[in-house]
Amino acid sequence: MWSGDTLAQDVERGKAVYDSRCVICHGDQGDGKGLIGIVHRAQQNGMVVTIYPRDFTAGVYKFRSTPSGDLPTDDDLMRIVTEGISRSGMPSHTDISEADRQAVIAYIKTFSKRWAEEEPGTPLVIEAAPAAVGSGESSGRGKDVYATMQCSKCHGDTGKGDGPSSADLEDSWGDKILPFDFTSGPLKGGSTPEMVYRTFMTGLDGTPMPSYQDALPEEQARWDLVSYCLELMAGAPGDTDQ
Amino acid sequence: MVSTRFLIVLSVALAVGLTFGCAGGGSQEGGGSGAAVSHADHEVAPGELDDYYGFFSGGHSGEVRVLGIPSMRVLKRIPVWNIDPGSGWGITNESRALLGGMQTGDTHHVHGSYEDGTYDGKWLFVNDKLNNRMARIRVDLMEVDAVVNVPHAQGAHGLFPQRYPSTEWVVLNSEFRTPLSNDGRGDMLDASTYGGVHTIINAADMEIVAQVTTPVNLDLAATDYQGKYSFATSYNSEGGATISEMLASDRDYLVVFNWEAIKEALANNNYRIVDDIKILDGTEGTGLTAYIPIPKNPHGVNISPDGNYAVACGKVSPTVSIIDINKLDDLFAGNIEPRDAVVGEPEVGLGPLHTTFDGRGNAYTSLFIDSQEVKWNIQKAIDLYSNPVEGETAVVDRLDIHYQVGHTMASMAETKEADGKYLISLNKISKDRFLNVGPLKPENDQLIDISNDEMILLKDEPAYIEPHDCIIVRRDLIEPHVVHRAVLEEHPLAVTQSSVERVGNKVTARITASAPVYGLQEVVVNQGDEVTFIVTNTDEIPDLAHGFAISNYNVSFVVGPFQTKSVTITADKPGMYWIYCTNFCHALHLEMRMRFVVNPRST
Ligand code: HEC
Ligand code: HEC
Repeated sequence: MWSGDTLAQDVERGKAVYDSRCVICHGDQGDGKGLIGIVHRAQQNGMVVTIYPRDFTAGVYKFRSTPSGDLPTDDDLMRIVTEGISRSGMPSHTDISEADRQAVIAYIKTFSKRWAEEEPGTPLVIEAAPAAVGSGESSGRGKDVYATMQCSKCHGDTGKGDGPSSADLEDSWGDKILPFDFTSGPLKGGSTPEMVYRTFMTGLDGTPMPSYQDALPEEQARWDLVSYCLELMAGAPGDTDQ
Repeated sequence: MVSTRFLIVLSVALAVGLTFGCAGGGSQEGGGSGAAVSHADHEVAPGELDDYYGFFSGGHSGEVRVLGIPSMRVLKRIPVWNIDPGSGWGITNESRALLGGMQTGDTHHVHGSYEDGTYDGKWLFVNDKLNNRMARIRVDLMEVDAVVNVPHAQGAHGLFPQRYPSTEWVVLNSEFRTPLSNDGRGDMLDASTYGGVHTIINAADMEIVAQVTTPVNLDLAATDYQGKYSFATSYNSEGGATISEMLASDRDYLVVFNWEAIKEALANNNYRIVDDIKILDGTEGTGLTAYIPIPKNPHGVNISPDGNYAVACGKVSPTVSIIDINKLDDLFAGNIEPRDAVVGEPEVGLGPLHTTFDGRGNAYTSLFIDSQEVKWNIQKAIDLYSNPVEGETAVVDRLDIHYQVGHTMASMAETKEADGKYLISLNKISKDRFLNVGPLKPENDQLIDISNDEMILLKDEPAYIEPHDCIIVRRDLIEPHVVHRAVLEEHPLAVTQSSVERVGNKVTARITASAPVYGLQEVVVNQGDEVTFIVTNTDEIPDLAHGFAISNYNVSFVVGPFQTKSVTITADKPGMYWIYCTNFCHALHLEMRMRFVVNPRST
């Protein structure tokens, strides 16, 4: 595993990578205001919403293995930079060397002083999904969890992201944001049972998507909820945007 | 009597052929109500949408076109048998697998899938007369998704889907008689051994259910509204191989295929298998077919929207024949003679080719030689056949068209919901109707208002080579089924994370395209590698398509939102080649590029 020490030469190399690969989106100030942030990307229920590149000056990250409010680990960042974030415009970077990716991660940390003041959180331990996940029984129970936790307020009864609150959501940067339409294809944070589990356990910091780690203490209820989310995701394919 | 009439018709036909050569002799004003009128009702203002989809074949251009009616605006060209660098059809691995190396074709008939006598918005089917295939188009994406090759057939022409209860079968006629197993054995010049096949294709799995052989040729096709019969006109009952031989006898046939009998024969294993295909014997007397004699060399056969009549056009006879479909049960039971099923034979004009309907009891027949659309009343024609009245005719109106009409089609006319609003006259010759563009001129598809007693010509629409036929479908039957984006996971190779993988000398580059970046900035390979590029457009908003073009490698295709396409090439040219987005996608579209680097083979 990579140690993640932020050596000065890493930062320098990282800036070179950043200027070659990231600046167009994330901006030379790291504030997400690169030249590109002008294309609308997500559309749901007739609403078109722009997903802006991350503002690194806030030091707030969505796709982490660490609890809500904590900084991500270097492995989290490495995963994002390597694999990208599907359906957001954040590309994967498998065509640059691992050393370059390490270096650019070191560099993006220099945009926020949070990284100097705080340590990354401790990753949640996520066991492999129990065999029952995906079964009709588990999903049936998960439907109740989905209802009690009021996921539908944002994600809607059928997971299409059209719940009653869905139209008025904003992220921490004051930009409009849509609750994900589970039926529309792959999720940004990954679509395997473990990844869905991680998403609602850690929450997506900087967005209205909360963490349910405390609200859902029971392990079985968590996996049942995963089952139900997967069922919703398998639902009505296609999108006629009517 | 029939033969003298035939002679007159043929000599006029020849004369028309000669006048083609001296076009430009002043515009020929239409007679009667033929003067072009532009009605505000039929205008589609900028920003407004049409009331109907028109699906047109593209003839030997190999494509299918989608028009808005009544604006006649061309909305899309769906590549089918052709290479289309615009979309990458014929270039991508997906399309090449469907085309099987044959990238020319000849589309004549586009028909939709049905549920209870009207369109269900699922599929369109189109023939390839040239390479004897049928393609299926998904209405949701308006792209071809399946192709079936039809052996034992040449001139795969007339095509029609089952209309009731829903489209399980599609029939396809072979217009050219051929040896059945056409493998070079036997005396290939002995035309008496040739035959025509009526191929039955399963619409859902695109497999051939069976082929019914006949000794005659089978031209246009139709199905009834009860799921019981299909039809074929036959113009070469003589079995001739030259044009003189084909025109020898005074009568040819409307061939009727009995589906119940066909299903029974299949269930009772009453067939032989040739090249893995079930072959049913459809000669006269087998109970599978009926051969109804009609005037010589007929062409189109169309079914009235009430399901009662099959109307076959005379082509060299100036008449159309009306066959009462309700008498066919009796015909197959042996209770009546074939000619007893004919209940009308009105004389309509010279060179009748196709007939369409307004749902109000009127039929509209295209007259190739007369360059006219003729409107006639079906009931009147039937009454006059049994009770001729001197000086009376079933003809209601005539409209001059410009010029030499082939197919003609009214709105919704191939369904039980024919609404009699618009008629399209698909004219083969435009002569002087448009600015001269050289010896190869456009065809002229004319739009006609048929909502009144008199037909009114509304519009001329130049068309590139060569729409034969079309259907006009109400917007509400199609639009709800058409999507703005594909289902990402439907393609087994869909890319959500870009990567490059090498196995031996095979390299696979998986690339996302999201405005304005590709998921890889460079792909480096060695000369001689076999490189597969798989590209997924991960942008999900409507109308944001990305191109993928590899400089100097002759590769270009376009992927729509959430679509995936792939291409495999041999990296035989060393050097650095820009891959770029061809389809304007973003303010930084020009910067949407990546490098393809081919290291020279080490010597
Ligand atoms: C084409 C535009 C684009 C480029 C190039 C790009 N990004 Fe991003 N990046 C984004 C977008 C958009 C997001 C926000 C996605 C979201 O919020 O769903 C993002 C988010 C991120 C995140 C935040 C992940 C999280 O968990 O919140 C990191 C880290 C990141 N990018 C790093 C990089 C690095 C490093 C590079 C260059 C090597 C880079 N990006 C290049 C568009 C881009
Ligand atoms: C207050 C509104 C709200 C509630 C309540 C809510 N979500 Fe979300 N959720 C969001 C938003 C907004 C996003 C999208 C964040 C983004 O795109 O960056 C999201 C994203 C997600 C994703 C990730 C999608 C991806 O692309 O990876 C999952 C999974 C999810 N929510 C599950 C749940 C579950 C399960 C619940 C209930 C336990 C829930 N959410 C409750 C607003 C909400």
